[in-house]
Amino acid sequence: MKDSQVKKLMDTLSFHPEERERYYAAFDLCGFPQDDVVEYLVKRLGEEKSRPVQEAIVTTLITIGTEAVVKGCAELLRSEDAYVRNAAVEIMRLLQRTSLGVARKLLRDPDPDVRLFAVDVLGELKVKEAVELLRRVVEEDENINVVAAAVEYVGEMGLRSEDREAVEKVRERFSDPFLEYAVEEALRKMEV
Amino acid sequence: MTIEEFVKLRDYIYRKTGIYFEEKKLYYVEKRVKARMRAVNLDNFRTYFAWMRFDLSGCELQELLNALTVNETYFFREYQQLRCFAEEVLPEILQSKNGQHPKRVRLWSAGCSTGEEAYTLAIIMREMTKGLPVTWEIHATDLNTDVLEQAKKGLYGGRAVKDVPDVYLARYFRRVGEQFEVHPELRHQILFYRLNLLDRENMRKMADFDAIFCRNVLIYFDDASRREVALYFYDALRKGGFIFLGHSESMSRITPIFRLRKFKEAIIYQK
Repeated sequence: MKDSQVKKLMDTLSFHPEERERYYAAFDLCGFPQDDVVEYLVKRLGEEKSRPVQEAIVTTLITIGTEAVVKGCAELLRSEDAYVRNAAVEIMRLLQRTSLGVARKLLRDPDPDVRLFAVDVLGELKVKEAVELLRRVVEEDENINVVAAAVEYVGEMGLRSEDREAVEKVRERFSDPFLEYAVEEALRKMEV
Repeated sequence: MTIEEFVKLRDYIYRKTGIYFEEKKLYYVEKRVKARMRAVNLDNFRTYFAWMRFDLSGCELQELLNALTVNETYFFREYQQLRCFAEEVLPEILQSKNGQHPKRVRLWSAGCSTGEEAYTLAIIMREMTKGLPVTWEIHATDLNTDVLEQAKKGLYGGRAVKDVPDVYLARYFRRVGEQFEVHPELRHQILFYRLNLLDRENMRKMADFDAIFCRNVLIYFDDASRREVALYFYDALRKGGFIFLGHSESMSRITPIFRLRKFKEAIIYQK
């Protein structure tokens, strides 16, 4: 019974010509928080052409909020579509605790763009553990864009002397006016 | 009330309604819970909480919500935004209905509290459509049944009407002792009813509105619920319909599906 309901909703979301029908099929799938539904929704988010329907899918993924959602979103960070990437960051931001572990793993991804999104996710989480991870990025990551983003977030959230020291030290690893500016800004914010 | 008790109650209310009380609201919540405990003769939070949860009628939960969600409001609040509605948005809505006779306008005051906003909109509609072939209706909803009862009575103190222009005060209110009563004709043009903005079934029935006013309501919701409510509003609006939020609120931070429209003195979101 449950399976046939899920199938019906998935079919509606995939094929129904009416936007409103797809919109509510996306909403209704939140009643079925199993991993295969999550997998389907994540895939569908990248394929759907209507923005309202995409937003309904995002809302449902947030409501389901399991680890499978966060893992799916981590994959969406590699999408070519800026909306999809931002939606993935937004979902991960709202799923705070669940996202933390997944974002931590992404910080080791070979692709610097993915690491940059992981930094964005952590920067939006506003939890103590996120600041610690971001400080480690400032200390260890080799990519200047990733480090600059992490510096910015540490500047906003870092309260401890280690945070300040890490930001100051980053100048020793990179010599770049862009990063210099980010460091100055971060230090100024941490003084307030 | 201990922090653990607060969290337990807060999470329960959140699951039922989407309304979220941050920890800094502990004393606010505690004060109102104690008042409810006194009203039902219970002196222990655990007993009260269990009793409320197992009260199948849901009456006590409703009473508690009533106590927790009373907001102060007044007529013609955020005047510039209302002027924008009256002078710029409404003409655009009417223009879009060319070919319809009479033109039918539907407005929704979501989270209407004691009704001041809904009556303000009714005054604006009467003034702006005088002599035009226009019919209109206003739906005014709230979760809190106490405030809805007050709204239906249409009886207000001097503070609530402080910003009503004199000419409208004379035209639409009757003085009853120290209070002001809204003209019965205005009262009859508003449909007041209870609605939980996160009630999926009932929210889907809300449709075909030209404008929704939901000012200073979404601040009570957490990020995820706010998104959900915003999407229900999106569906409830007709194409090109407008949504008015409180002046410190931003729809762009909730969802990107609404278009931002800049008017002379206000920024309004549009479907």
